[in-house]
Amino acid sequence: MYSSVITGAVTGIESTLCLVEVDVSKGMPAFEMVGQLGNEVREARERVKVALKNARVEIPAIHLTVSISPADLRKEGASYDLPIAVGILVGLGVIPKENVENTLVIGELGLNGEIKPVKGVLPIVNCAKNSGLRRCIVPKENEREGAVLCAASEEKKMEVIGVSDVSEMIAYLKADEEKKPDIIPSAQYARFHFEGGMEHLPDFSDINGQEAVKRAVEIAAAGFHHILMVGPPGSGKTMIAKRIPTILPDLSLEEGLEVSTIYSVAGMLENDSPIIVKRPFMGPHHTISGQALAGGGRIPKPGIISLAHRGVLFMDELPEFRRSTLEILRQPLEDKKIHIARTQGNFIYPADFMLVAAMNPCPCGYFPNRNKCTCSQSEIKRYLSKISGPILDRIDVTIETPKVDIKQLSATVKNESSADIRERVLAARKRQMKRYKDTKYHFNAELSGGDVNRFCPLGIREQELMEQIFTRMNLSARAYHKMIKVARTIADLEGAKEIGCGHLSEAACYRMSDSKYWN
Amino acid sequence: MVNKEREKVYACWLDSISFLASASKYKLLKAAKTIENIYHMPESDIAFLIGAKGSERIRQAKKTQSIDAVYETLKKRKINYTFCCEDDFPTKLRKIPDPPFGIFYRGGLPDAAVPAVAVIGARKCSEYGYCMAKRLAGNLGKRGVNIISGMALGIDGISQRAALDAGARSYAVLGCGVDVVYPKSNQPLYEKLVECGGVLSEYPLGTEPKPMLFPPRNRIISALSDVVLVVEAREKSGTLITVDMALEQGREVYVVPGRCTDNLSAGCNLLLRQGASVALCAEDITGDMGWDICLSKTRCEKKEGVSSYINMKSLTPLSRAICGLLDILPVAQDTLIVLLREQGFKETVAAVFQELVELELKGMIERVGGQYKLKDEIVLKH
Repeated sequence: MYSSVITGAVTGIESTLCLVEVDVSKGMPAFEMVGQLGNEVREARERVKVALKNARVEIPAIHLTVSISPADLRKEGASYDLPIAVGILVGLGVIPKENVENTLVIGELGLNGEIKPVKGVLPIVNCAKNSGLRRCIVPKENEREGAVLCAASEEKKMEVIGVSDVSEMIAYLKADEEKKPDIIPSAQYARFHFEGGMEHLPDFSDINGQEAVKRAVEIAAAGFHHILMVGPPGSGKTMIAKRIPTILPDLSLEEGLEVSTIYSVAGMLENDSPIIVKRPFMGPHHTISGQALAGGGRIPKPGIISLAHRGVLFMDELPEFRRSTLEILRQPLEDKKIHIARTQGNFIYPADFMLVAAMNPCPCGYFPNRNKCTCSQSEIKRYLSKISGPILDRIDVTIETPKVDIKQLSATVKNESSADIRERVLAARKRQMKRYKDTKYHFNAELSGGDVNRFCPLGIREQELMEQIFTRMNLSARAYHKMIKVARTIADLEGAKEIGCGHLSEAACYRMSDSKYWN
Repeated sequence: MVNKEREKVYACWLDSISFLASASKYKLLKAAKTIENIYHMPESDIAFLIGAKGSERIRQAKKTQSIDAVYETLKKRKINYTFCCEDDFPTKLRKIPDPPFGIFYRGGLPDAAVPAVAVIGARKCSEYGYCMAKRLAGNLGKRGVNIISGMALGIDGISQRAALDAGARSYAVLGCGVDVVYPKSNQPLYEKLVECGGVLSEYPLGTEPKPMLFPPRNRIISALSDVVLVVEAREKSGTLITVDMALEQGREVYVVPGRCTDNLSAGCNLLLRQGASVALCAEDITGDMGWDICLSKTRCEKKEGVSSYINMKSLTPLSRAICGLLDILPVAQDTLIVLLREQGFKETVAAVFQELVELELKGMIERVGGQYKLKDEIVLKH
């Protein structure tokens, strides 16, 4: 008898529905599987056979043929165990054929019949929902992750059922429609903590002093500018970077699903928090390899830059990163996604992050304090030249973080909290959204070339000031545009319609210094 | 009568032998009377005079290098050579203990009649050293004083550049072959020195810089000058070795004082404690040495009053406070804000930043990296 069961496959973060077809016929006893299967999928044969036996389902001596379509798509992972098992059960007539119609099945099998969690449930369930399926059978441990989407909107009714072992699943699938909720109720996950939930995160009010740095960070967050902090060790660069997610706007539902999908594919979603509600913060160590940063492996998994999607990618000790690793950032910083090509196919992972970089001014960290710094000029030059121009090109805001003295550390003043800063950031972002409505842009930082002049026109007085700054400070054309963009963000923070002279001169303070080192 | 031209060729050959001490060469010359005779001297005599090692080197050189080859290369590459028997050999060099035997040079040799100051100091100097070296060397240069130094990084290069910019002549004594530019980043300075001054070395052409070659060249730097000016030096440094040599040669030593807490001024302050003269500005040196009179045609222009275009009264209280807080050493924006807060200024960060840029545009302060400092001209108004 022929049967078919729907399941899903993930490539990159895109998912497609697959059909597991099972034909049970008389003949030489055999278990054939076709459909460009990876090793894990091939091994499903043994797992399914034993799991079904242990669930007290007798498989007679028959000729079994399993085909997973589309046949040209390579299948990887253990998530095909359960749909194959269900296909066989339907083929053997244990489960009525009608009961698996419009139902997606996904899960890994243990030899004892238990059903184990798999990666990528969120995008697959999402795909099932968009295709109008009625029911998804997922491992118990993934049920909340799957249920996230059912709660998100009610117009398309779909239920997600979490099953823990094969016998339970058979009982559920055999039962009549009315009795089903009594056996396993459909999973619910209605709680979305998109608001609040920041209490246990470190807050900006912990930071005494450092006003200039805080201001720079606020500007960077408001315009989604990448920021570079330069300062001696122990000047609070890391501390400030860790708090940046708290002043970014909350994730919207769509953004949350996007981020959660990446984490689901990477197998990093926690069972008790199936959807990511906080902006991610990724601080890779500088020994990280290019693959780990960009995403890699034979079947590429999302890398750190994708896990930082919609959040902060903090690169401490920027010049210590391998040059080749840093160069990988070029494309993502430009396109907001990373393209990874493998023989298995092309994978695209989103990577829209705010780059927060920190570095020392020299290898020992104390330049220009010559009492402490003993680096030679060539050492300093070599240290700084590790960061290539194209990377620096994309960093709009640079700020020095000096050593904090003890007086400030021990002071007990009330500092501005993250919530206060976030409010201003939000207002600035709203203004930007309004300005860039119906364009490809979202934030000031994204503007390029001619569009800078289009969206950030300067008055006559401002133009004059800009010319003065330009000649006096020996700026490059690149720095010129960066300054205008940052000035636009400063104006947005203030709620000003036009860029004023004050905004421009403040922006000039955040410029990258090209001439740090004299001879 | 000794053929002078021929002697020079032989001297040139002798001086192109690496690692042959100049004292040995003098010894040989004394015994042989002419350099040509040295060439023809029996090996045993040479070994008797300067030891087996030296004689072996000369023997090797006789085998590998023909007499005229070195001189021809010099001519081809426009490198000059002079040695102790020539008339143009700097007299100042003759009078020191352990004088060099010959000097390879590009450009010219310093004129003995013109006063010369050697400006020396740390390679890894601070902003303060940078500023002081530039100013002192520049002002000395404007008064027509020759600046002599080692074309190294830091103080050396800064002072020579400042002197050249002021229109003075400057001479560099290298610790490598005269045709080797070290450090590489000083290539432009090297070329300018050849044009307006000279580059000298006692080492054979193509000698690579080695640590052991630098102290001996320092004796030439101090020998060529009348005054040695130390700008920034650590307590244990090559600069202090040079000072010792200068004292041995009977040169005046002037020192730019620094703060007791700065490592880079420790050497300077130590010298002061030992009785060196203080140099606060160029006039201190020219005045003490009595050069002001002999430099009657000083090109010293009346100093342009920087204060004239910055009217302190026209500044806002905030800018005045900022200028008061800033120093010659760069200060980070954040530190500046902390200091302003301590003085009771309540302005926002944005306002302070705007003020900073305004002052920068007015030319009162400048940015070094991401930090701000007062412009040198403002600090050194006198």
